[in-house]
Amino acid sequence: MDLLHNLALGFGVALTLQNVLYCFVGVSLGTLIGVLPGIGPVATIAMLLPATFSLPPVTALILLAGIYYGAQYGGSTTAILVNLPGESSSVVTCLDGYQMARQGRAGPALSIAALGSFFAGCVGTLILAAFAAPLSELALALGPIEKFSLMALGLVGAIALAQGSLLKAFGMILIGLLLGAVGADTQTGTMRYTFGIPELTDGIGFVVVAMGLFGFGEIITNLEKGEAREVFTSNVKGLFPRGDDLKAAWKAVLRGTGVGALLGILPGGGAVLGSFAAYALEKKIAKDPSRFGKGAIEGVAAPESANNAGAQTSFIPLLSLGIPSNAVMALMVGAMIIQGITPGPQVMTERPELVWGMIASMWIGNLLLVILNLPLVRIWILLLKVPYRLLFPTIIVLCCIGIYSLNSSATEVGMATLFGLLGYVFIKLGCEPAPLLLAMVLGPMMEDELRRGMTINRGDPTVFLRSPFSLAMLILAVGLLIGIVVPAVRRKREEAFQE
Amino acid sequence: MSLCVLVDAVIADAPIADVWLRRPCKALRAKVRIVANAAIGWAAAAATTYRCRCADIPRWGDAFDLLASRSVWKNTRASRNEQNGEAALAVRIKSSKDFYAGLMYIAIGGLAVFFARDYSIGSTSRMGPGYFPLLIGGLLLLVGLVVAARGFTLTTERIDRWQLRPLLLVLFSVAVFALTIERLGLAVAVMLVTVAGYMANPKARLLELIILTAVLTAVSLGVFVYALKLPFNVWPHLR
Repeated sequence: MDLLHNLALGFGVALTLQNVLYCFVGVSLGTLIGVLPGIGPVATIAMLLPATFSLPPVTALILLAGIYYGAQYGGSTTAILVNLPGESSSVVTCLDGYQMARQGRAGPALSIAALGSFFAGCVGTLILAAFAAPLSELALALGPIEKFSLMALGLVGAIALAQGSLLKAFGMILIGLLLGAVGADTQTGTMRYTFGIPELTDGIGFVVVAMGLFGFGEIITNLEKGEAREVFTSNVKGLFPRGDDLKAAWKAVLRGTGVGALLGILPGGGAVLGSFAAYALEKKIAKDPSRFGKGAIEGVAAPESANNAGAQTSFIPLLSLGIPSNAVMALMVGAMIIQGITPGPQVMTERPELVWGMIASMWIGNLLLVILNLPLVRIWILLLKVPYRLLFPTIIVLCCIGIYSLNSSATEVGMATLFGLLGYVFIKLGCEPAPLLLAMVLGPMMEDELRRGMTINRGDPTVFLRSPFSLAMLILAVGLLIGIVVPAVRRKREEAFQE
Repeated sequence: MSLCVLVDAVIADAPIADVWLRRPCKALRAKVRIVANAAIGWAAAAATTYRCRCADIPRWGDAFDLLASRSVWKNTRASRNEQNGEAALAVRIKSSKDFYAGLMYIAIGGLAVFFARDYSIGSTSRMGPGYFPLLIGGLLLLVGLVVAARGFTLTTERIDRWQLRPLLLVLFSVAVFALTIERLGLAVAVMLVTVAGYMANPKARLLELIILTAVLTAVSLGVFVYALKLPFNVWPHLR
């Protein structure tokens, strides 16, 4: 009954007044940025990192985690009412959600999205609680070679699950690894790629990169696109779904939760992929696929459940292995390091209150989110009316202050300008920046493990194949790549992303 | 100008080669034909580039993209039959995302390898600081070559139009913050950022700008200086 004991410990931590309060702040902020198109959790978490300096570690992590899964709830509101994805994970919700709103059924769409999300969030949290501890025990037994292969699998996963061209995603990973190499070499102290700039000695701050790529780069792209919004506000009445709605949706919620939870654990996974896959699955098994895109309630229920389940389970690799699986988790690693915690399997045993407090807070957060998103949905609709031309200068100001307050360094703000330009170029050239951020955080760890492993094994590279765990990871990675390259699977993947 | 005429003549002359090659052919001749077509395509692309310059066509991007796209090779014949050869070509050209992404990878990988030349590489059993960056940089260079080659030979997605105003003004506003925060303090820096950033939106309104600036300045002072007590210079140093 370790699990119950641990959960009791967790709720003890999460239910203190301060932690509930910050959990509430986190999920409200998450809903807010989820509702607002044009700003995502990566930029928001990066913006708020400096503000968490003064908080105790567990409170800081509760706040930041709340932003991520809160954004999954908020994203659906915008998708349904405005036909714009508030979050990238709500892209597919637009298809049927907006059609439902046009038919005057915005209420049921919103409520099924929120209830499905709640169910998926609870299941995801349970899975997280059940798997985190055993996995971390396993992870403690891993040597440098095994860890390297595991992280390599993570990066391959990020490549395989990225949108668009595999080779381009691979290139972005490599750029990320190079960015991670900037700074003083950990073993010899040699300055690498610092060009005599003192701020680069400790490496490029990933907050700087995240803000540049995801904050500024995206603002520029959004401004180019211009804005066109049509909000169905007057139609939100009768929030509760009819009996036949519920009957049609509950199986979709179950399936979406399963798909999302599974894809969330995968390295490189997270909320986005699950929602695409769940929608594709629903369409595939439906008796009458032509209903999809015309307001099928399953088309709202499945992806919204999936993205929430995925958002929860993507914490598993982070909490049990200390390895982030996507860009948001990479930022969580940063938050832990700022708080003086080295992410890894030892966190589970050394700081159980941290891990279990966070897990328990997620359940509380999900409960708060249902309240925030169902009875209070009208407040968020009001916020949707704030035009982007007022929003984006605010984001710029907050980003600037956020970067500057990290180290009181104007040079870093200047560097963020460059990364903003780079981010814009990436978007224009169809290179997805999320894998880059992940690789940048994993890079130094991977290099360390590689060098240590090679020293122990006297430079014999066959050790990667001789260690059974490492071999298994590498086979998985190769299998993943082959699976994606095989034409049939490839076509499916493209289809899923197109829808 | 006379060069222009010459170039036009080159374009006009190309069909001769093509007609010769279009006779019924076996495998070898097919290969020759592909090579010849490629050469013609290149010549046409170069010629069109030159024509764009002569005619002061302000679409430098298209002229360059022309060189970067195989669709030139495919479409050379068809467009030659049209009255306005180079215009038709220019429309068909895809400014390939992949090609430029590849170029970018090559540039970054090349720079990484170049700057890593001074770091000691060590051996596999004792890796020096240069080992990993060199490996990754070299790999990136390779990936860049493949991506660029693919963008060059396949018709891939076109780069969307880009606008200068949001790009420059958003980046400028961030740079303004970096330049002013230490000397002029938070209050002035936030005001300047807001003004510069707000102007990135083409439909700027003066009254709205004034209100937004006032609100943002007040909120950032209130939240970051008075509530969170972050150690900022708030006002200008008048020294």
